[in-house]
Amino acid sequence: MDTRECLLTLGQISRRATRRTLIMPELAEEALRRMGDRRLDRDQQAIALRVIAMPDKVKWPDWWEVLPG
Amino acid sequence: MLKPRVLVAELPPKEPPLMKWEELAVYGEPDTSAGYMVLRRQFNEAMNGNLSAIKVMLKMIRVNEAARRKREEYDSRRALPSDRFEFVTARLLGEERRGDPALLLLGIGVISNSAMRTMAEPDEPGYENELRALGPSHIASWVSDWAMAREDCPDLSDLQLENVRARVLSEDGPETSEWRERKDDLLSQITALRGPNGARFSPGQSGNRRGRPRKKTGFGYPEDDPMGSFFDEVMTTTVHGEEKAMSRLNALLFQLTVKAARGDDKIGALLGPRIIEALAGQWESRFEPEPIYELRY
Repeated sequence: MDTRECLLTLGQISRRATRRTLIMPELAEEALRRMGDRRLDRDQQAIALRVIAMPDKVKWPDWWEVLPG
Repeated sequence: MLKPRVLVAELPPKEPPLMKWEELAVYGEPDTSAGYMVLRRQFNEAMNGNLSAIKVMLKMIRVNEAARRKREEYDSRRALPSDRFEFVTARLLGEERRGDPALLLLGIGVISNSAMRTMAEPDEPGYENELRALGPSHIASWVSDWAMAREDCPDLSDLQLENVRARVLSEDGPETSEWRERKDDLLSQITALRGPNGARFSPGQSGNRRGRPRKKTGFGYPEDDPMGSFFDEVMTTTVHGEEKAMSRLNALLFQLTVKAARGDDKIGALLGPRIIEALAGQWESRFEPEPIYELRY
């Protein structure tokens, strides 16, 4: 079992996206909350945005700049 | 008495011909090669009703059609190109570190010490490729704890639980100490390589300096069909007193059909079997199922 299958078993990956790993918005929110004072720069935000399923549903923190188009 | 000396002149070795005449015929620029000239002349003769030239042209058409059928069959069986990135990941890293670097950025994934040790050193040749495809080897322990505490977590069997636990590592534990040490450095390198600005060329610098190569078409370039675009070249023909631009193939067939219809029996005898084939094909196509364009539920 690799990381993708592991997250899939836990129900934290979109089952509709088969080619890519897209994490659920709740997991993304929790990950951002756990970052605390750590910040991602704009390039890193763009990379992270690409793996989030339904990014419109994410409640982004105030410091987050790159939003889904 | 002296014997006369016989001088045997050494003949120079016989030079092999530079190329076969078939190769010579298609040698050079496509539109000015000797073969092209010959066919062009044959085409003009065929337009004037020369029977042997018409046979040559019909043979060319048959060869072209057979090659096109073969190419279409080959194209339909050709597999779709695989995802290059997945390929690099699977080949270089195996199953161990497959994943997305975004999971590392978000802190959802971690890399174990054993996986870190198999990574290439910065001065080794495959380092950049490996870095480009770097993903987590395990997921952070908080993810499994948080997910299992949620109400919508699916019921896991014992085997699934065991598998999940095998793929979980604490982000603060001793198994991920090497990842914690190099985390910031590696993440910044990944961002430089895979970020929106990292993957692009800087202004004024093109990754494709010579541009896209021009598509080679025409006689002698067998990329499309063996006869190239010999038959696709546009020419003007008189149809009902008006000059019309049409492809060489259409012009030839039009001219031949007109000649046959006007009473040229020799051309008619040549075209007859082809007309029968076309009619038979039209009749057979009635039995093919109609394509479904819309699915109704």
